[in-house]
Amino acid sequence: MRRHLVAAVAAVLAVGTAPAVAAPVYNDAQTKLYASASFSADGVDCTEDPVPATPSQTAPLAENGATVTLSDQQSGSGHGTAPADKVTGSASATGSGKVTAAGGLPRSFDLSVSGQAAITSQQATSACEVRAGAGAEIAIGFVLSQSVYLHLDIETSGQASNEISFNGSAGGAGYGYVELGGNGLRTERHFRHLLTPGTYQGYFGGRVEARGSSTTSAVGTSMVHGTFVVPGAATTAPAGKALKYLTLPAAASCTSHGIDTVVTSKKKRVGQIKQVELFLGDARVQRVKHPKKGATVHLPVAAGDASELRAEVTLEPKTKGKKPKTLTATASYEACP
Amino acid sequence: MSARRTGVGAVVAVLAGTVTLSAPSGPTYAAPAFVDADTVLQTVASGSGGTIGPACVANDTGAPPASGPVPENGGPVNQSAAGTTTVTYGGNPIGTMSLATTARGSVTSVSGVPRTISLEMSAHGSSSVVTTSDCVPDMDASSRLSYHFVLPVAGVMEVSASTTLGAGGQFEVSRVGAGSSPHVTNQDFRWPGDTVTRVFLPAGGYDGHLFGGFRLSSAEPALNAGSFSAVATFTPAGAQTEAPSGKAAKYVTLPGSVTCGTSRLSPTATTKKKRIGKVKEIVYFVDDRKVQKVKHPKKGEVTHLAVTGTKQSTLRAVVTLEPKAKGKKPKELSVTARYEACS
Repeated sequence: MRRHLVAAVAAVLAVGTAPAVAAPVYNDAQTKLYASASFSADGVDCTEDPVPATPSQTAPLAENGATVTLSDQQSGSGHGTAPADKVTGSASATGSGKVTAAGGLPRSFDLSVSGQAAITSQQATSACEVRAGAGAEIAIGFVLSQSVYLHLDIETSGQASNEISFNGSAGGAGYGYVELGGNGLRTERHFRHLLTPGTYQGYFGGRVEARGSSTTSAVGTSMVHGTFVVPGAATTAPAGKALKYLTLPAAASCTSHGIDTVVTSKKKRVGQIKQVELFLGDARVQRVKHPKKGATVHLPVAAGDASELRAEVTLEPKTKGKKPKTLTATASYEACP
Repeated sequence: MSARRTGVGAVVAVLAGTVTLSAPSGPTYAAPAFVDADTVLQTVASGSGGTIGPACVANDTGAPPASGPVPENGGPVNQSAAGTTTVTYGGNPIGTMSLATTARGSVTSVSGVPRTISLEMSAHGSSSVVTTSDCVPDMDASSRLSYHFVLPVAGVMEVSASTTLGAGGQFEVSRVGAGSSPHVTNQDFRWPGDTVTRVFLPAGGYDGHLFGGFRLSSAEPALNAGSFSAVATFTPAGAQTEAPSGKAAKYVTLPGSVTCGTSRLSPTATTKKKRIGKVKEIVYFVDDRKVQKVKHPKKGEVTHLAVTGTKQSTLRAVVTLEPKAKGKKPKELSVTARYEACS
């Protein structure tokens, strides 16, 4: 709500000029970091000892704000009917979250969680089934005004579990989702999805839990990194010495479905060029000998393919018989749908 | 169950816990990696609800689901299914929908170790239904490859999947019979995209499935085709994933795998006396970082290089030969291989 007022004021002030403040992208009320921990001891012949529960922690995640960190912990105990049957357990977790936006679009969100949990039983097996767990979660909500690619990277190690739910609707039948779960297996996941304009919500959580009626422990981490990339945008900016001779574009063209490189318009410089070779990945896709000044060399790119472009410009040898010099330049581009 | 499979035996029965196979007989083949009875492809296309108000009646006709086994190393299994939904509103016909799908599933193994599980499905259909807000029927086409396999060794299962608009997929793998039920599940629907999931699996029995689906909504008749494809590849921990290539292979042998116990790669200089004499030095690079230089290696000299066991590694050896004549530039050759992570 606060954001909306700020934006409205900014919009009024900015009339007739470029907006001074981009409208907020994330829904403040939905965009939060949580940390929680719990303990329970259950069983027909088990009594959980009364211990005050620590409240779960919540903090807002402000758009482009600093990383927010929360911790929570819980310990508890229980006993069976046998005098020696006593169990204790504890769990704690620390979670950090951050969300960023730029140019009216979400740019990234991050969650990292590390947690540990332990159960100690005085007997080999207790009458109590104990669960001690702790974790953290980020919730985000945002509106997309244009199609973007979401890249979602999730890494889980140790005995961490993941619960991830991301969904959105462009209205009508346009409902999509990503639901991910897992427990106790190290995983590395990369998802890339083209999201269309609409309203989106996501919950990204990691948790560590120890469970059982004997002494045991668990430790683990979970990381979630989401980035949003406009179709065709440069993901690695053009760089390299060949740029003096050949311009690599700031973005791939999603209308012409390709990358348009442009030969230098300087007559003197173009005369030095023996040939231009263009590679996508490791494959050479284009070779132009003695290009004309200002010529555009178009590289078609298949829909859905991200591009790693490398240009090699071979200059005329300075003296005949000398080895010609080759300069390179590189850039990477997001796919076009 | 094929005759070949019955030669398996006890190993699988023990590892998989619940499965009993007949006693070994016949020639000695490697134990099968997959449990036949639980490795099955099912494909269906039918009405799947939607928005169905009281006046809306969607009458579904179609063949029952196609279902059959997917034999290990038996080549791909193809299935197809089709369905039609006839819709009335207040008793009056308002159109029909139809959806047809084809699917292909296969599972392969090498020497008793699972290698690949793959599923491709595509669907296309049409809808002439004139929808109203309380009558928007859907049809779903889907194919599920269920599997159950036994890993004699730990390793990495890498699942690459791609989905077109309106389609979706699932991947699941769960440890069989383990108390805290280690598992991984992925599920996504509708947005076009691609995914890569790497899961580190200890030795043991696992079950799960690959699933691909497409939804035809009468609200979006133009979105009438879609596809899903996925390939899961299992690589034992530390195994070589790209064989050595390069001219320096004559002078140095890159190892067949990472020694996971110590997280080391141990290349060996040539054992040929004549050849080793030509080697001025060998420089080793792990992931493009120079990690060791060996000047004038002895024949058969083994060099131990530390790697990060939780990551894939690329090993490159650059061999500099003695110059042919003094003052000449020495020749450099290289050889490169890649390895899977250990854990």
